[in-house]
Amino acid sequence: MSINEIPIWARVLCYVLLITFAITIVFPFMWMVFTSFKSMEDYTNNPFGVPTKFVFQNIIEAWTTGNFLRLYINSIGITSVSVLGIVTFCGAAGYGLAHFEFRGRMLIFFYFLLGMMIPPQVILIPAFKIMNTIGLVNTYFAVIFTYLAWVPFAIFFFRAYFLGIPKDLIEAAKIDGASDLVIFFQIMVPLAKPAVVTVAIIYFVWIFNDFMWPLIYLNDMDLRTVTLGMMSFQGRYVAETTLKTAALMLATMPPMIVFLIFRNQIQSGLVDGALKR
Amino acid sequence: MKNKRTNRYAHLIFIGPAFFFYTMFWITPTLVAIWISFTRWNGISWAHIKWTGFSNYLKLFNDRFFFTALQNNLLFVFVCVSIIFFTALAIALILNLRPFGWRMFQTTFFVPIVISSVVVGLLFKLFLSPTTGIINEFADYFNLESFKNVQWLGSKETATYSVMTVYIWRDLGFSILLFGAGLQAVPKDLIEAAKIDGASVLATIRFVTIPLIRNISLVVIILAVTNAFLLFDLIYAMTLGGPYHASEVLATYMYYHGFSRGQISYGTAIAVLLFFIVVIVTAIQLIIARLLEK
Repeated sequence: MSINEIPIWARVLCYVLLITFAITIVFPFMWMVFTSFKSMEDYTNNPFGVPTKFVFQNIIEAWTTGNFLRLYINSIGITSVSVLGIVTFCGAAGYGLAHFEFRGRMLIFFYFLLGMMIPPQVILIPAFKIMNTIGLVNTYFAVIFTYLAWVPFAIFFFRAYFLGIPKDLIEAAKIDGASDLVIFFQIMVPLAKPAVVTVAIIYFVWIFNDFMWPLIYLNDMDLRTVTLGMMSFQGRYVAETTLKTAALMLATMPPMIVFLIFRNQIQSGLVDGALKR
Repeated sequence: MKNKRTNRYAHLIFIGPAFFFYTMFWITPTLVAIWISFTRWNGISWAHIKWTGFSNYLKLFNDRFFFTALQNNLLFVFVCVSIIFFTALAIALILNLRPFGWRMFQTTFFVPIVISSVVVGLLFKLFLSPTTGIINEFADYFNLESFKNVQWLGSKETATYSVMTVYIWRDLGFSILLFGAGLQAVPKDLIEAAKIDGASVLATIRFVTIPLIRNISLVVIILAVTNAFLLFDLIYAMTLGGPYHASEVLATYMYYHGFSRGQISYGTAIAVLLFFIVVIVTAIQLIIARLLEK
């Protein structure tokens, strides 16, 4: 099927629809970029168009007062550590559930799947109280441990992947005298690279954009993530639309650029994540 | 012999870490949630928890803001999800016809997926500002009196609908992505066969493509409905549930009680109820899907 096989009026309708949607998506971002380069005066006279004079003042001010360097270091640090942990622990667990024979194997697998039904909203309050009791609130560990607990999807995904790797391969390695850890790290991990990439992408997008857990766990200014810092930034400066937009641009542009570079991997990763559940 | 022994317990080393974090920070809080929803607790000392049975749940029935929140969630579920479903399907079908520049369109539609809801919410908050927002500037420019200085997020009548619009804007791309993947999986020879039989494109879509993407439609609906029930970030960023609880949803109302007002048990009861609603609604959808298949 191709667009050329449908009547001309339908073709026009399709394009009108697509272009309208594209404009609704692009316009807010374009407005954001333009506005962040305008002075407040320029914005009031000319709210839609291209800046009459490009001003970098807003962006510099937003970067320094918003403490963006810190926000990005926090976000990227928390996200990387959590994703690394998830991939390691869940890769191992998925492999263990796929290729070890032991009693209660299916039971443990179903126990892990249970979590897919329990959304974070449900456990928000008690999780905070527990974290408070062990004294981890206001530390990076609070959020990282929480993300490390979000294992169900990763385990499910890795288990399915490792089940697809023939047992003979492992038996052969065992006969050669390789230990379980050697088999896992030297044979399985390289084979599981596509699964690792998919899981890492899904969790990266999810953790980087997460708001709820940092909101309750990270009160300290120095610990804040980009989304959280954004929220307080927008509350602090009441009048300056241009400054606020500049800050929003600093929060959106890096993820967007990363997305545009890796868009194929991210798209197929997210699809896999949704469909394999 | 030694080798055998280490083998016997190797699975513990492999499964252990994931099991530990999951049990400690996901399952335990769930059980604690169910427990404290049946108690009265000031949230300070674990020793002062008093069992009160169903009283928190009974209190919900006399709480009109709880019903506002539930009603808003249902608005999101029915209105937003239907709009998202049909629009996403239409766009995915059009993109599947490979129009000129389809890759560019595709990428554009997906951009909002990777931007966090909070940032999207804050951007649109600026957009909708009654004094400096772009909607207001439009109204000024074209002299549309009824759109001037409207408190889009600040008035009871419009707050929820404003957030709903932004929600659709933000979530549409993901459904398009899923439909797109489903359409790619439709076997090409079936389409070719329909073409040889003289079917028009529209007929092919109606009688070949649509029935074949039934499973993916189910996934799209279940995910969209679940997300609409669990909605939190966008409301928090745009209205905080206000004005005067008018745009509250269950998750923000739970947060309001649990964190802003310190009513730990009551907030948790809302959360537990939300959990059961999501589980039951998902089960119902799966059952309906089964019945339709027969």
